[in-house]
Amino acid sequence: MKFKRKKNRKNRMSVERRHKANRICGILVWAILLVYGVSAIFAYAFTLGNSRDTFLLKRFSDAVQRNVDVAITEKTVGRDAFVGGVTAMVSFANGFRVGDIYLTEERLMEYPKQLDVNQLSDTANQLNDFYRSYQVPMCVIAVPSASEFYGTELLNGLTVPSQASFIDTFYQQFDSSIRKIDVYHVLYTMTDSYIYNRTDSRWTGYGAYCVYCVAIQKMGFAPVSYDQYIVQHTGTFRGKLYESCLYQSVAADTIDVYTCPSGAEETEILAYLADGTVEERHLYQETETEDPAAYYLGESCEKIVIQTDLESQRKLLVLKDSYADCIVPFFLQHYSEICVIDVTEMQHPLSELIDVSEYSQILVLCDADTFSDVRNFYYICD
Amino acid sequence: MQFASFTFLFLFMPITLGIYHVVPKSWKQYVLLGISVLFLLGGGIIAALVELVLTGGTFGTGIWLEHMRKKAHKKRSILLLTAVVIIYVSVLLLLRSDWMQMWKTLWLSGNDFFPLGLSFFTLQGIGYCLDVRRGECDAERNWWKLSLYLLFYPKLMMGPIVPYRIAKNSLSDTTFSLSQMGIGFQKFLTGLAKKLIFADGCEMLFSTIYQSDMTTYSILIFWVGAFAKLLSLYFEFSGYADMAVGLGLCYGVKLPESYGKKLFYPTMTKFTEQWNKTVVQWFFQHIGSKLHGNKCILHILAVVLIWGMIGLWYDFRLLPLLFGMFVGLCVGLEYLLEKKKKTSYHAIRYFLTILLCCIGTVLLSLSDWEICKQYFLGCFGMIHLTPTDMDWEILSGFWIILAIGIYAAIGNFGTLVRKIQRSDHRFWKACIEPLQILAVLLLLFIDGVMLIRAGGSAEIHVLL
Repeated sequence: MKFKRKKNRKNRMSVERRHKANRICGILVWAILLVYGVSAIFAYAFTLGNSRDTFLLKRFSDAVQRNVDVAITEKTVGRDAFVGGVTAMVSFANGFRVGDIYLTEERLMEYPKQLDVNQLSDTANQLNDFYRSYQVPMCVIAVPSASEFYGTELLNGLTVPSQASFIDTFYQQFDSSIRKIDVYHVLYTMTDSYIYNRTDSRWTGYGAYCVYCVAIQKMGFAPVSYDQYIVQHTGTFRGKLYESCLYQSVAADTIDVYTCPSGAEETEILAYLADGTVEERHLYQETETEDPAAYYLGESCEKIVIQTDLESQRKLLVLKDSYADCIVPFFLQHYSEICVIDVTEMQHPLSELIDVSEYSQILVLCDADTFSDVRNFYYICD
Repeated sequence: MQFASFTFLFLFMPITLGIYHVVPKSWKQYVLLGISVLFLLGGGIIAALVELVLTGGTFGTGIWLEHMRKKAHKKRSILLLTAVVIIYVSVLLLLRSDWMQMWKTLWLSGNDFFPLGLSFFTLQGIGYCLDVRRGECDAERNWWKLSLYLLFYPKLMMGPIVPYRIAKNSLSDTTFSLSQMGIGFQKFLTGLAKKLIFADGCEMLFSTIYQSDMTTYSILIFWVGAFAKLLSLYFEFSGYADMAVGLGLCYGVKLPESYGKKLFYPTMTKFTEQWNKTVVQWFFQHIGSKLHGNKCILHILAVVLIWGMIGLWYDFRLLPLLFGMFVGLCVGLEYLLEKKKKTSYHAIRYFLTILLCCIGTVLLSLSDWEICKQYFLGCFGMIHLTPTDMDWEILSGFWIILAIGIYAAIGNFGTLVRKIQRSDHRFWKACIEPLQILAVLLLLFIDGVMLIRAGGSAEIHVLL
């Protein structure tokens, strides 16, 4: 009896201790979650400054929680240590993939998204309709990802999903009068050169130049030869792929500026922001961000108009995503006005932004992923 | 909004929990409903509206059905019930399938548009109407009580499905204690770790295989890939189910478990009994009861048919239908063999069950028929029989996550913890509580790190 009582008391004490531990767990976890979450919001709001309204209203109204998550996480305390730590552990365990990024000694590569054939087809139809409505000569360039060219070689023969066949099928769906520029083979022959950034998914200045040479010929001009340019390395950066995994083994990328002393120059660059304000910009910006695309023409916005001192009266309309930023300066040598519309930033129908019929040529230049989301081209047609 | 996201874990959950526990008891149900609607709105206004409108419709239908039952209008009630089922299934099919893709893309953010947990919501809504018509429960006259049952956000994403007659009391009479909240957090964080570490890690292995050039791999890697996907699905589903149960406890509501503690079983029958239990039970209870026959062949046909429906419920495509029918056929054949008393060795039975589950997993997971065909060619040695260099390359990159995943799927983590709790050793007796607190904090740290690494929110691999 005494033994039983003692045992019961022991059991009761053990249950009480467990309850106490659970209570402490509950309070601790709740407090940590709350404090960390609120501090992350404050850290984010502090760095937002003037653009706070766009964060809260626009993004929440779109119900794109993922964007909010990404934005807040980037400013979270200890983020770099956590992300770097996970990458180091994966690398130590002989792993070669962190999320959607392949780690190799030479470069970081984005795991290519599987392109949606139906969406590509819908985008081609949208652009066909757009072409038929204005009948302005149009060229289309779909840029493949870097893993197309470097994947097999750097991953010891491990293959990555190829976008080549998707791009071919996409091109076949355009009207015959729309020019499709095959940059896949152009870039393929140049893989030994520095055509894609090592820490960013986009191409380098030289990669853009190689594509420019082919594109401008198809658009009826002779390209400016490489020796006419003065190439300056203006700085180094680590791009978005590095930011996602913080893998230290890959060398930083360089930002190259191509200037043509004997060629045309820009006279005025005006950026039309989403809030209706107009901002004067330069061809190359000194930005605080490490985004190389922001270096060329500044932060992405709906519309940028570049005037040059050429008297040719030829105007180019570029419908693009961030891939095209470093190729635009090359076109300055051929057009008196270039209007750059970022399809991923569009919030108004194209007809509200410009009169398309005023332009003598249209270039649609995006990476394959952008083409595989038809929503990006929703505002192109009325 | 989803559970495995920064916004939810660090903002929505602690803030709403704080509010919920501060308000007086008589307000709690209204606050809980408000929180659930807010959670729904996080997935988009239109998506939330779909479920709110369906909730309103279900409330009205329930009252109507009860009225007809009392007046003995059997035929009319069948007609009304049919209409409700057609409406629910049509909404589900419209939003789950590729129909009207262009329209959905332009107006409803395309594939991203899917009201959270609509598949579970549909089963609960139809189940409620069926129960009311059969007289198993009375129609709810309080709109907020029924809304809370249908929209209670912890169980909205991945279940479990609870019949209204059972859920009614637990939702209206919530009991809160800090100790229960602690257990809830532990359960939630365990589920989150399952999702972020194992489900996402194993998914990465499978996608690396099937999205690349499959001609470079051998039979070995195809089976390893299928097995990794099986682990991924188990951890994904059971992870979200654990999170639901944990969240429920935090709000003082006890929800049933949807998955077994382990993944491996000696027979397909036992496997299916533990896989998404509440959904399988729902189908067998509401549809299976009408289909079962005395003859063996009729029984097998009924099982195949019901599992085919479960497959379609997972995704409205041919391959998930085949998955369901395949699982149903395996269960049916097992039933047949059991009747003839044909048994085999235990280890072989485990092995065979895993192989069959892997085949089912490939059918459920691959959306493209051609890729699926090629994958099965690889599985049956039609591409390479002997291991290739690529096989070792893949295995060397993922073996750790695979090994830990297998250990976790055996259910040994839980057993280990229980052993320590029951241990009479003085050291464990003294340290168990501090260790428990430390383990929970470590789990929170790991989950937070993985979430931040994933860029703030994890991708849901199977949207239900």
